[in-house]
Amino acid sequence: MGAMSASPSRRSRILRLLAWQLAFVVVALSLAEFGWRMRMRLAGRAYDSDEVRARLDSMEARATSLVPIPVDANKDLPAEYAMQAQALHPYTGSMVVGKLEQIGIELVRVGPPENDGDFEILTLGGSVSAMFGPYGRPRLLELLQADPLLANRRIYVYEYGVGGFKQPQSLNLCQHLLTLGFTPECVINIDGFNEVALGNNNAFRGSNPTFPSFDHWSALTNQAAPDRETVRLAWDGLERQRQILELVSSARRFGAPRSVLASTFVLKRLDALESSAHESFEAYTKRLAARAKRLVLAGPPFEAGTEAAVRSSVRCWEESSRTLRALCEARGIAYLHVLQPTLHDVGSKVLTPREIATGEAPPTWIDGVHVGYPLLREAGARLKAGGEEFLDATRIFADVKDKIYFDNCHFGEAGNRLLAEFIAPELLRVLRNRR
Amino acid sequence: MNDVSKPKRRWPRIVLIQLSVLVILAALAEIGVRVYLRTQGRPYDSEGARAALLELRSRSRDFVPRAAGAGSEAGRENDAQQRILHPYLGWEVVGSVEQLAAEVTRLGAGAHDGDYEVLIVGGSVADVFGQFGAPRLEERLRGDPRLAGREIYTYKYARGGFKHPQIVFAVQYLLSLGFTPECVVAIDGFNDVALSNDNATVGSNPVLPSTMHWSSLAMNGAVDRVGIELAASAIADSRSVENLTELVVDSGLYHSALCGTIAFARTRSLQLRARATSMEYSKRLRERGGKLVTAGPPFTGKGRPAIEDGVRAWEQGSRSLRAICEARGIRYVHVLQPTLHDPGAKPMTAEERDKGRIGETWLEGVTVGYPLLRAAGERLATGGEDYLDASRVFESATQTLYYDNCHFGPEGNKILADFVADHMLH
Repeated sequence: MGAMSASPSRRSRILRLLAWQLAFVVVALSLAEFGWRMRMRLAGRAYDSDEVRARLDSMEARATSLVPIPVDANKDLPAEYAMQAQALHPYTGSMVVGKLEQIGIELVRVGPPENDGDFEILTLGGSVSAMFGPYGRPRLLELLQADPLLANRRIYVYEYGVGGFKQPQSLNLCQHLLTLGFTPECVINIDGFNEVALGNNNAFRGSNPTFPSFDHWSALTNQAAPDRETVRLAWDGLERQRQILELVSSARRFGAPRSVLASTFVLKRLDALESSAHESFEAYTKRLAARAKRLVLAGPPFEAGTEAAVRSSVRCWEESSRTLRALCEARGIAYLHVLQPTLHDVGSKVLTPREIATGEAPPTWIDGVHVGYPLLREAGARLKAGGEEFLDATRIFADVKDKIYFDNCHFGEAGNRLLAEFIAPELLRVLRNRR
Repeated sequence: MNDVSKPKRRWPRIVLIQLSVLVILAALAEIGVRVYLRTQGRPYDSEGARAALLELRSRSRDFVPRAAGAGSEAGRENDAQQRILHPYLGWEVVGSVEQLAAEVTRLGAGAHDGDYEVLIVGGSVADVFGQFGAPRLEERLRGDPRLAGREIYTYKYARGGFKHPQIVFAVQYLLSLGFTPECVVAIDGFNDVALSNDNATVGSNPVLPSTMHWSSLAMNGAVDRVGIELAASAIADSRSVENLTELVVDSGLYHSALCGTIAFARTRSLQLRARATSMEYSKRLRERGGKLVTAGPPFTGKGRPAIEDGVRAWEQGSRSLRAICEARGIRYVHVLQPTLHDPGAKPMTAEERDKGRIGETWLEGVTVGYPLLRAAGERLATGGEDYLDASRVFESATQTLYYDNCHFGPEGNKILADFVADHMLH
């Protein structure tokens, strides 16, 4: 019984003790809160709970998205840019969005028998070839249809010159189109400049000259390296962000902004979490960039220097043309390869003052042309000797005194009419020889 | 004092009895499992279990689980197996970038001019052939008087998951870099029908690269929370497979039928879950904006139309490969690979049936696609292509050759190498 009667008094002692402890904690916290506020006021930074609420809101907002947010290849673009934007492509590296749409639209021509009798021409190459479409095609069609050989046939031109393309991109695009079911009667490949100018630029930027143009492709590849470690880094960052969100939510629920003490602790913890998240995301970005640069953009090892880079590009151009011809011949398709003229190729044109003024180009491009065009002509002669229908158009403006070029390599309607008039009789000759 | 000490002495006895009962139960369970497996015609083979576990571990060391060479062991967090974006092939594995860097040194006029170089291309079956079949093929070629005195060198550029037109682009790209093989051997077919059908199922054009391999690279990797959660979950499952197999193999637990069977079942289930999560991840990436990049041009749909697209890509790809080779005086041999689920390809053993479970889209790809591939192959052969139908090469083999639903190990590759060598030397 003695033990029994002692219990309630012991319990009440414990309760009293706890109450004292609690009271002490409350008083101590109140004093600390008061003291902290005084200290802040004396330091000229009076506590402002609204400001804390705003900071919590801001941290919550920052923690709800993955940092850094990479450029989304498919993000909504303004209509005027959407068709010109670059998208990643598995077989050509990059591709202009408009061309992707065009493939989808033109696929409806593939298959239906009503198009069987058409004479279909597929044009390939870079931007000069792309511009040959609107400016050179009308004249080319006019000349072709005037010839009895094609007089009664509807001519359809698939225009797949793509700005920045160089070999083997055009070749791969051709194979891709054939795989999808395209059945052109003729392929006209207008190229040369990008191989030597952009190929040299690639080497200058540390990317293999046979890889797609660095400037066109690299922006699409930087984020593409989601290996285990990269995912782990992103995951660590996201975990910290989740903790931030939970802490912000708890702080709001318990009214932490009303207390300078609680706010200080919460904000300190949030700062630490945010800093840790940033560290993870920074490592994530660095890893993406490093992996992309080392493994994706650099490509196979290559010899440094303009001469070596251009030679490598010219070999790729020659091999790709050999293959294009083989692909076409295996399917009974006529193949005509045109080496395009270009402004900085010495002796290709008497330049007007205006052309000189607007023809500035990066040194790597000009060096590429100076070193590369003689090599392209040599390689073209080899291709021709091997039976390829190779057409050297590098001197078609040699006697033209008027302005043709509007920048360092592109020409408008007048130049493209001349090019069409140069190509048409050769194409007709090729077609006649095949009959 | 006596009352207190008595129970203390009883505890060790109880613990000892409990332990003995546990040991006896475990031994009985072990014997029971072994007897059961034997009655099922599958007696427990601890070395076989070890090999299978190692194989599962190797396969789990990739971001998206995939087939690895039989018996080959990738290191933990193996960077060489990681996929990276490639401008002309869709993707490439890190190891081959390094391989290319090493083999570029063979190019150019010089010491290797007299070598007879064989370039092997295709998907994972061709990749495994490079490891197990190529030595036999080299041996057979070396033994032929027409190649006497010449060094035989094999370039192995087949990649797991590759299908046409990736194979054409791989050959073309190597030629552009200056490679000058005397012979190109393409071993393909399965991916062109199975993975093309997979592509269509998730909304990607069948002639684009395998979406499961490529979309994670193409769609900016893991850029949103859900995507990373899925990726992290797939990786966590793969890591569990690694840890479990490591524990069982390193501790010798695989000697026990009970432990081996449980570990095998668990790893298989984890791997299946990892694959499902990976597919979900690919789907998620595609949903995030695959319209332009991973969807590709419009296509009819999944099933037969997608498989027909894959077969057309295979046929067109082979036509181009032949043209590329002929234009350079390179011999081109095109081999249609055998595959387990092609009806009539092989009498399936119980082990092959067990290990060779296959998803619905792949099975449909094989059963619908292989007859189409054979028909297309005949067209190619009629057109003059050096085409070799190896889809019946294991027709009369009654032993276990396949270690999963499409890959075969050293023995099967030796048979295939002899088949190819006979054809090449004929």
